[in-house]
Amino acid sequence: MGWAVVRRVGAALVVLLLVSLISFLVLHVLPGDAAALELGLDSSPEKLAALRASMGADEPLPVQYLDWVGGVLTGDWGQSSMYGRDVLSVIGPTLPVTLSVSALAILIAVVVSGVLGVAGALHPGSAVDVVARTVIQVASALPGFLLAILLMLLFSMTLRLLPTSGYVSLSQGFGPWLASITLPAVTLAVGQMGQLTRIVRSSTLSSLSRDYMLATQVKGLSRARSVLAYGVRGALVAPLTVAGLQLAKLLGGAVIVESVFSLPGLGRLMLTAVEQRDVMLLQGVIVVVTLAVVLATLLADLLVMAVDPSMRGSGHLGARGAAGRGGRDGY
Amino acid sequence: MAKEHVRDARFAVTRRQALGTLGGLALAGVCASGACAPLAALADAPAGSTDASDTLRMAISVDPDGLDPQRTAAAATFEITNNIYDPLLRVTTDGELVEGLATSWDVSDDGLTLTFKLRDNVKFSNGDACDASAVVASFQRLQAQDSPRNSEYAGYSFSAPDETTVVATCEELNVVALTDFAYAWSAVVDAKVADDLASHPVGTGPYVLDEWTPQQSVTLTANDSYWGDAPRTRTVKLVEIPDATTQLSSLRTGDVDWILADSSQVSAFQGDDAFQVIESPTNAVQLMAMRCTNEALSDERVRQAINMAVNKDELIQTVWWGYGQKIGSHYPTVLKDYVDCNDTYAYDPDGARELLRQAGYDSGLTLRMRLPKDYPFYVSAGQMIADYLSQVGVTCDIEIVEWATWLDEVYNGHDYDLTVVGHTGRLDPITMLARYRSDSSENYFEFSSDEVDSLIDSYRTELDEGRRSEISQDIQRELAKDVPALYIQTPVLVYIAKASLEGFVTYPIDVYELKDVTVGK
Repeated sequence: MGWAVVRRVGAALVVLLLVSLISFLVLHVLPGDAAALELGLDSSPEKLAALRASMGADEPLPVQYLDWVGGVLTGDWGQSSMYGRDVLSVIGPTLPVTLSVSALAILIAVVVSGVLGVAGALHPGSAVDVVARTVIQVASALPGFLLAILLMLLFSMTLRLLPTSGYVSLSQGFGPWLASITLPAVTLAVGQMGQLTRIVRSSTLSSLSRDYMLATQVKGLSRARSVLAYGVRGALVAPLTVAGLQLAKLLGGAVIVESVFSLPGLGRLMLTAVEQRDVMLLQGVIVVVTLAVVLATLLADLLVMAVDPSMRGSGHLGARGAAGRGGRDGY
Repeated sequence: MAKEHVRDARFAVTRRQALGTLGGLALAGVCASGACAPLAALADAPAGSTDASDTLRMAISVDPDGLDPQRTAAAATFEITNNIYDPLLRVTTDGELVEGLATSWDVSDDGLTLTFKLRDNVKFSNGDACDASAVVASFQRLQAQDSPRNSEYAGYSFSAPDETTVVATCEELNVVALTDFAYAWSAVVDAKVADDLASHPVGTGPYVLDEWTPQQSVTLTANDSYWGDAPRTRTVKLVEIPDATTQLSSLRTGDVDWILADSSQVSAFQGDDAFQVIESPTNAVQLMAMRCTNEALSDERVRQAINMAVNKDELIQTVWWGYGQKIGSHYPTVLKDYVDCNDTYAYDPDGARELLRQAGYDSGLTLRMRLPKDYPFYVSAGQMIADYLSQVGVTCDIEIVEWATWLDEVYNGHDYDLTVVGHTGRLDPITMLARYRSDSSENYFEFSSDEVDSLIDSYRTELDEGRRSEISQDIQRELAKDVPALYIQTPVLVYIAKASLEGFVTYPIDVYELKDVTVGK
């Protein structure tokens, strides 16, 4: 297990370096540079040249990139041109926002999908199974922005229960904090539930038909005990892996939901950095997002290893292998 | 879309002012188009609320690009910095120059020397003295290599003969030099703390920065050492809400006091006593440019026919919901030398067909129209114009491109026949009109006219203001006659605010004066 972790961290570093290099290059290949965009219809060759020079965009590319990598390694992530502060101090405050919304969203999704998925597997074809699956499929198919507006209309404007937008930090009180992230978290959770419920249901179904379930009956365990202790536990690997990947996706920035609810999160910061061509800031955000994705998948793998001893020896079998296995079992 | 609004410089009126001083001129077009229902409602708005709130909350859609006015070109930033810093001169809503940090100013007879007399005993918000040498240091920073405006101010040299006098000497005659000292980027900053201005602004204006939480809000609070009257509302919170729909719901729930709206959203607030709709004709010009070196478009008759084929009233009503004022030349309706050229080539599809026949295109003509995707209004307008043109036998091949590509290929590369875009206005006509000079690097029309060239040249050296007005009017008439573009409209921006909001006006340059605004509790 130790080796598996070391190997994953090593791979993550390579991924980080590659992602930052690619994003750096893409940003410079895009048509129209920051200076031209800024000047718009006011531009002339002289003004363009002056603005480019003031942005430091006239240095050779490899020099710009190496300067940046060197800085990141020594803790100097550069200065955000837009905010006039160092990049880390701009990114820092967005992390609790994105983390709390993503975590709450995954929590909601896992609980709801877990209950409905197991219930559906225990009574396949029953009214509960069919209705729950239909409702969740339809809700998941709704575009996030539409669901967000509908929720806002109901809970903020009609019932006046929750705020329309903005984030309140945990230090200002648990209640206001929870109220500020509830609607965005529910919006995100609904988007994840369709897939998660299907996976829970199918892997529980397959786990329930395994030989060891027969053994629990022979042993004389109650139905509830045998389902919870053996059936569900045997079905955990695939849902955990999928939930881990979903968490990684959410940490990568839920741009639309963050925009609709005016949350000062990582996703919106990335969008702003692209729009304003704030290169240093964008590079920093990309490193943090990559790091978050790598950590979330690593966490999912560790959890999988913890619940399924057969995974521990084979550290090379990453999240995707496990998901594949779960998926095959299911369909 | 929000960006487009933000970048448009604007002229301004509250509803009440619109009814009074500018009513006929500014809003006639709007009313004619049936959009004036809320005008009456506003006349009843409560006057002078006694229980004014101590905090104003306005929605903004993007963070400012730093708070250093000398190191940005973003309109959204100037709107805010204008309240923290003072330029030497300020402008009135119709573009006239008035006192700022300077209380009087004088232009020498040869037009080369500008002398500004400063206010006494003005201090920056950190306590540093804002005397003549501090003002000179600020302008020298504006001229520095890393300033986006360095080329525009390179021709000046500054000196401070005594503590309250600043002298700017120009290398060559610039008859509109005074306006250079009224734009938000010319604001006086404390050069001693120059490196931190983006995040820790230090100016002499009515407000200081209290807190800036990226992606959430920018909070300004009254500057206790301000030289003028204290702001009517002590705290202004600019709340960042990127999504247009969320801005509307935040206005409805009372989380913000006013927003810049899309014209399509206005009807939802009309007739609602809790809100007022504030219309601000901007000093921008929206047009369909024609590349005059295209074989067909080089024939003046073809360009005239294109102008006659389009029903502008219907176009403005359909695309902009009537929020715009029809124009016939490159000049915003709200500036003082505006000439109405709408009748030069009025809507007449039969006349258009006849002109095309004379020009030899009776069997049809195909032109390439490239539209900027990031501006949905321009795309819609282009498509509608193409439809009008098809009725007189002109086919448009429409291509919709990204804004960055548009700037690169259409605006800078002149690779197009027709395109729809908007131009932000300036304080002085010549900066707007000079792009039509045949050798201008900004002449993406590839238009060339000896009359226009010589008019522009004579404007630049004419010291008499009255004569300059006449010249700018002559240029407008020439452009209306030669039509290097189909001039569409001066757009009208629409703000939706709580009924109790007062004192909000907009200006022909990108600034807000928040110190005069109040809102009820």
